Amino acid sequence: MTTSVRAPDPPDERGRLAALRAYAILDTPSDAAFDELTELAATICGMPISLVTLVDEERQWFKSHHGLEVGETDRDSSFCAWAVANDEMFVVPDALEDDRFRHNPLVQGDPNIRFYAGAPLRTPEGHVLGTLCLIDRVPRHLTAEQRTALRTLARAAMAQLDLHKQNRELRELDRLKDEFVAGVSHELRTPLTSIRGYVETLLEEEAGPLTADQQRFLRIADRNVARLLKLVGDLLFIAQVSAGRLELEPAAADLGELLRETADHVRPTASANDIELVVDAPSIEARVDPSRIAQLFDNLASNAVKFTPAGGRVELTLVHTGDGALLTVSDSGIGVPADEVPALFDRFMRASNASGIPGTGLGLAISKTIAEAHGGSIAVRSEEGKGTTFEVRIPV
Amino acid sequence: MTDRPLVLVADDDEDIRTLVCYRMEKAGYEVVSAADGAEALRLAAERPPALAILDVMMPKADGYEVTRQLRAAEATKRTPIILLTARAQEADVQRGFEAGADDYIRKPFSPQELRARVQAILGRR
Repeated sequence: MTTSVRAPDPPDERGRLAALRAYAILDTPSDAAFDELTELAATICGMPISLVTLVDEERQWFKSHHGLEVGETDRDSSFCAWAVANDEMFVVPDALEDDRFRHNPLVQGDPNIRFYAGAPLRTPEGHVLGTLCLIDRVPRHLTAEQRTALRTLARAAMAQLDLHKQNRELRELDRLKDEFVAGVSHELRTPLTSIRGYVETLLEEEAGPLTADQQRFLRIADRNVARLLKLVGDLLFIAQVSAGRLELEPAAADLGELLRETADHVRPTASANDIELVVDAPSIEARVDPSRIAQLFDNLASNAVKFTPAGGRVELTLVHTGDGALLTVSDSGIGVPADEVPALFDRFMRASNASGIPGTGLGLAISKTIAEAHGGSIAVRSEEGKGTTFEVRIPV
Repeated sequence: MTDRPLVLVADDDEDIRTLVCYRMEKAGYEVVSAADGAEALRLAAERPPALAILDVMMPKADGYEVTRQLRAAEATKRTPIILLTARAQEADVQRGFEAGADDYIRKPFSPQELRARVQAILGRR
């Protein structure tokens, strides 16, 4: 006949269970970080079984179980629940000599517990979630050193639990931030669409003829709306990528034609600033997302023009390599300080010598994402004061 | 009655609706407009349009739902439908075509582009 004496609930039981829920650790997969701790505890103390136990409402669940097959048992027969109620290290030298455990099914049957020692897993707020415990099938005693080791390992297990919780909270915050950015971008689009449409309608003189000044000012408004729309589009793109929701729409396209269109986009700015624009764009057929590739080309070409002083030179070159296309965008511009080159593709990264030149620091991060989403790559060489060269490889 | 083709415009954003209506009228079409999906369906049943321009995100019935119901009704079974979508994702576009739309225009759109698409469907006048 086996019966269990259930451990009394600790005084903070409700808060303790709420804290356990907040860690969201129950029923998660096994984790080497915890398995190493139980293995170490068992080895140091020479015991066959060591567990990281979390005491739930009606069960104890093992985040790690060294030397024991089962993953959880009920709380009524739990030794660890006594350790939780005890709030300090809890030791049972011989279960058969202890009235609380003599008839316990885990003592009378598998795993035949005789010795138990559990050190509390205490949260920074003081709730004991469970234990790091040691179990043997013969009566034992712990030396002072072994007790110290067990306490230290329990603290390490608790630190792992805290880390797990913090990682989860950070991921959640990151997700909320992406959602927020995506939501705001959507909300901004509707009014911007409206402004752009009305300005365009006025500029096309659909609503009546305009004076030269009215034309000029509306074009300025139009240009700035276009800028805002691009920024909103870039932010939305980054949020989608960050949330893993970037979807390409592949279609047959001519990379040379896309590059020639890009050249047409930047040519007015280049000639206005007396920059020589050299384009070599042979036809290369590829299956890509044409609007994303155009976005990548536009980003690199407009950057090159933007960061090149008057009288300089920008070259856009496309060549067919063995297994793909290689786009080279090189300029004779201000370059990037050597120590900042490695971070150039990070989001919101702007080189220290770029202040005074408008930009958001998103263009290169987006370009890299687009190149990689196509199975390609992007690389940069730069010398401050001399110029910068970007190389984009896209498989075709 | 008039010989100008009737265009149904449905968008819950009043400013965009006004703009689209204005451009369609200027382009020579007769225009009726609705601020939600239910009103769009009522207007279409009253007088079947030659073409419908529907915003995807609308109260009462969204653009997909209105498209499906127009396709299900005998009088509007073959009415060309253009969807206006703010969501640039492939899945949404696919949903629009599955519902029976003929074309879609992503917001932000240029009114000129919209007019060009409408004229391509209805034929230049």
